[in-house]
Amino acid sequence: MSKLTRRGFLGALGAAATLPGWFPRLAFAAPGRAASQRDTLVCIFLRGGADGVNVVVPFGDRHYHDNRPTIGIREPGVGPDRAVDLDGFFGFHPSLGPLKEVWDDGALAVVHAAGMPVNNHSHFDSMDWMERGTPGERRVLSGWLGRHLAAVDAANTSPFRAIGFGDLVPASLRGTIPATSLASIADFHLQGFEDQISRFQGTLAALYSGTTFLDVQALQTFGAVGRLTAADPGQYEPQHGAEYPDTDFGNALKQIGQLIKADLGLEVACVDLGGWDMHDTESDQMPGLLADLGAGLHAFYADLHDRIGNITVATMTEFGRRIEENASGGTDHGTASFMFLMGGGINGRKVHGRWPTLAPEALADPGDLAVTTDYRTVLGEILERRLGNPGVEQVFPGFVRGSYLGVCRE
Amino acid sequence: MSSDVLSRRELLKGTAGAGIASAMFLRPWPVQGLESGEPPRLLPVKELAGITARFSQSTDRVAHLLHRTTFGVRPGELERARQMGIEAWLDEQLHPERIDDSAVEAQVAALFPTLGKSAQELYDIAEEADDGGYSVAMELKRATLYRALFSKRQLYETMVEFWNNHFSMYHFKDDVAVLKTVDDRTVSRPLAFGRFRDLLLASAHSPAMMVYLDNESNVADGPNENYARELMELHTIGSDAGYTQTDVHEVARCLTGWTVDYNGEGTDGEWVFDAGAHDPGPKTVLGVAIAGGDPGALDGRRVLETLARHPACARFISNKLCRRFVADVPPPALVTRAAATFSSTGGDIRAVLRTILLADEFFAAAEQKLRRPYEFLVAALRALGVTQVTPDGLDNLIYSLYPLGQVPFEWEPPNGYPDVGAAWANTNGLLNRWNLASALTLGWFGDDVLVPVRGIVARSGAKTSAQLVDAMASLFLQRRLDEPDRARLIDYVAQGRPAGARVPGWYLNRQAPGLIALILGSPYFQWR
Repeated sequence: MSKLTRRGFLGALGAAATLPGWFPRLAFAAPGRAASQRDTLVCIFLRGGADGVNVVVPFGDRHYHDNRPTIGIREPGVGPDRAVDLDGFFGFHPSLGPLKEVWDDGALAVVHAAGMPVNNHSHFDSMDWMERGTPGERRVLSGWLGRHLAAVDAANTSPFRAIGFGDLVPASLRGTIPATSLASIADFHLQGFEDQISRFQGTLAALYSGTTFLDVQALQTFGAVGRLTAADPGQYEPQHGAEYPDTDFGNALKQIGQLIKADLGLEVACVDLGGWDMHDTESDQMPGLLADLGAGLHAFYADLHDRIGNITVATMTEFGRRIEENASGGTDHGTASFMFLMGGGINGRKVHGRWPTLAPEALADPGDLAVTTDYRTVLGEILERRLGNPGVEQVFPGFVRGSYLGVCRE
Repeated sequence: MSSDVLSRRELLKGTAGAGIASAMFLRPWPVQGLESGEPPRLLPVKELAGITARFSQSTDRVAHLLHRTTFGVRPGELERARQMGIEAWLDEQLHPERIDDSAVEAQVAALFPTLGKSAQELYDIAEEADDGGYSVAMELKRATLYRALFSKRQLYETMVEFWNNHFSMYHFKDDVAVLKTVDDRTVSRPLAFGRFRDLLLASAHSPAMMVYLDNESNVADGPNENYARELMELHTIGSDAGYTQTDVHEVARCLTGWTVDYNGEGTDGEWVFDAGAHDPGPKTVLGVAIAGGDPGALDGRRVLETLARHPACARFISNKLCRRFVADVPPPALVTRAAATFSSTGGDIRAVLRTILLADEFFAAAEQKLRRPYEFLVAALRALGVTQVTPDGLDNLIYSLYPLGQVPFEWEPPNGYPDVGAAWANTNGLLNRWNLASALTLGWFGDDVLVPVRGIVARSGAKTSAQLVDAMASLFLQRRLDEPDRARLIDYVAQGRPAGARVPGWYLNRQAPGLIALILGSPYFQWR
């Protein structure tokens, strides 16, 4: 595909994606849960449309390999590049090997064939709808997490109540509760000559004393900088030997762990992991990306294990991919995909949801995995049972949900 | 042809981890949904702090025009534009060939030799450097920043950026690293003020675009829909135009065989039509029958012509131009007039721009456009009167944009950097703007980026704290400050001395970096 070898790019990056052989095995008792406290929710958006059937592989579906003659993942068995068996029907992509330990620990579940009931196969419309929480329409202007935050606990005024990790704030956090975006805890302070910095900051803050969205964000910035300086999180040593991958994603999860342990009032954190739009050479691209995802989640689970009873992690993606691979060794935009749910309150070690099968007559147009679980049913259950939100219908206006799947415990 | 591509792919599989690179190097797909499609979505005034005018006094019309159509106002430019008058100044900017920019272009040619190279030559350079095209890519970034900083053709450079962002590509997806240099030279630059149809055709024939959106491997036997979909959704008519998944598939079929040459015979990286990979069957796109059976690339060209002529395209492009130049939520009546100009002139960009930039709605739209990080940096450097930047300095300035989230050609998804304030006004963005402002005025870029703060103070002739604040507001903001803000800045400079008291030059020199950083970091300077 590419004419270049890209060797120059690979030096630092290749190593980060793969777990070292000495990676510590997890050996923990089942975590307890402090019932009084609401979970911190970590939302991971897999941008680009992740190919769910090559992540959590339905090797037991006889139509799978017919549709994936070159990029399909082989059923579990002896030898390399085999799916990691979960229940005799589904298996993890081999690059997700580390997550099997979390799975076996009972703290990781999959919801398969999850997605939105409306789909036009556009990344940008689909992400937009998914983050608003109103598939197919844009009249509701805030994001689903923004509405959740507005509905619960007005007493928490911490600027770290809601975090968008990275340069920009994800649309799901839009709403009346300002979210803080940050990319690096270590760099999150005002720079300048030390003897002038406090006068400088005082004047700057006074210049932002208006009421526009710029002023609101400036106020939030000064608040977050001050709170973080006071907390002085310092050097961070992950616990339990957790080794986060040295990637943007790994560093984001590590710093979310740091913020959680600093008890700064964090309720919701959003992280993006991009690169899933694999129209070509999927077999080349998928292993590195999944290694990053798997190693990151595994490290986060190990690092936060003492608090995992009050943490829920959920992944989502705007859509899955076409079931039949294309001639580029990739897949075009599809419909349903998967969600990972991780945490002490998750009913883990289970693939939730109804499998629609990959039989031709069961596929959604024009050849996609059909949605059998609306992603809002899953998120609604988490908000209600783990985050103490009794008014989920306000988070997802107009959504008439079916019964919850039982992905988590009360 | 396609077997060459396939064999190259096979080859790569054998290279340990090579496939990881594109995935691993990708930064996350950040916030979406702020600007796709129509109608434009207003930020919730009820749910967020309202977008209301912050300042009691607005800029005058000439300053407004310069703020919107340049990368920032260099000392003296406002006075020159005032003398010329709005129409004459705009007319000059709309005809860049009439502006003598030879000194800058001579520097560009000398400093950035890869800019003029063919794809084959760029491949050879990248292979020699064994850096995956990184140095070629960096040179384009440097040259882009250099031109934004120094070119007199400011509206032209603004439009080049607009089109590069419209036909957005991620610099580090595979061979885009080298091929984007050709794309910039042959698509965005020559056609920035041309006809949209020509621009679209050029982009569709751009090898960089073929690589970025995977059309290079779009073949009859299992079409790749990536380019076809984004061509309609992002480049021409928008996702609300009413096309279907079938249309996407049919467009993809029309474009099968449009690929990139890698024959190893000296024309690597050139666009080529591979008849053997083309689906010659009949197709229907947006209700238009395409008979098929053509031996060349005619099906694809018909699709592009159809899209460029589509009324939804006139509206989509006009809306986007209005969002760039007028307001995050463009005035609908102005979009309608701009779209009418677009249609009646066959997509003449220059004519559409005249409609927009001379409209009452344009001049009435103060405080509607936030500078994006790249524009913030360039505007600061231009206002500071920076004239000396070394290539290392350009690199360091580019690196300084990473924490802000806007580096040229590094938005990974195909919709381009967002151009609405809500996307950029956040804690990370503001904090890093403030820190960048201090880094510039405190001289932290060293001799590589000479920031002449002392010269600015000397030229201002200021003798008092108040005079310094007024002069700096005029130089950096082209406007007067609201009185409370003026008092705050005078207080910062004077430190208890009377505002009108004569103070020594060394004192003003000591206070100036902080003052200028405050002005650059203030809400005033964040607006375009």
